[in-house]
Amino acid sequence: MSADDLRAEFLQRLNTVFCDVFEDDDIVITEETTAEDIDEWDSLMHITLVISVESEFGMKMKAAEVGKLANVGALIDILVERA
Amino acid sequence: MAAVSVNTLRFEDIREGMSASFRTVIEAKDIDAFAQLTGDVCPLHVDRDFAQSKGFAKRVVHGALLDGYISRLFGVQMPGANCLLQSTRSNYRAPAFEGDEIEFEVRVKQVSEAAQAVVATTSAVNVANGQQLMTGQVQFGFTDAAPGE
Repeated sequence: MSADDLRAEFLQRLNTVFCDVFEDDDIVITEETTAEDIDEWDSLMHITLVISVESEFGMKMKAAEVGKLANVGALIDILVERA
Repeated sequence: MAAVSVNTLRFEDIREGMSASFRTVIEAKDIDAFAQLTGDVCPLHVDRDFAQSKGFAKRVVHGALLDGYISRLFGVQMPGANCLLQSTRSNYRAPAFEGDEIEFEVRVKQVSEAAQAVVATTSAVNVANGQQLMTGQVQFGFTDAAPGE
């Protein structure tokens, strides 16, 4: 699988996670998506999102990594690095 | 109310697989007290004749009362005083009745260092027959450590 294909697969899986966490099947995320783009993305939902991503991808992230995420693409960077 | 020992576990003390549990008999007076406190006086809970007319042997315990006992496990035992519940989800699989002895259990499923939060499964089981009454999931975090703690 190419690097682009892997990122596309991860983006798709993340989209499912976002829909579940925010209970909104209409959410469509891109690598540029940030918390500014989703009204309900507050600090509590961020915690739930992190937990759900860790569960979906079977991996653990570090607090420092999560704290400096600029957008969804940066999250995918971490997932690709751990894949 | 009798003095209760409350644990003071912090995030660092929690491990996946840890559990806490207790048993209690839910008596008619407990259902009445909950109905009075919340105003949920649905006859299924407070009127035995009505409950029996609907096919139940006795008055049915409020599902939210079962959730209350689950809350006690987190707020008193694991982690205890430092707990901040963030979300709860419960599935009521079978009715609990007045007089039933019920075992409540919570078990840590996921610990997230990045989120400083924990996900735990919850359950309520009828002790007499082993029937699963409720299953669910709770997410909780922690209050900030006090200075010097």
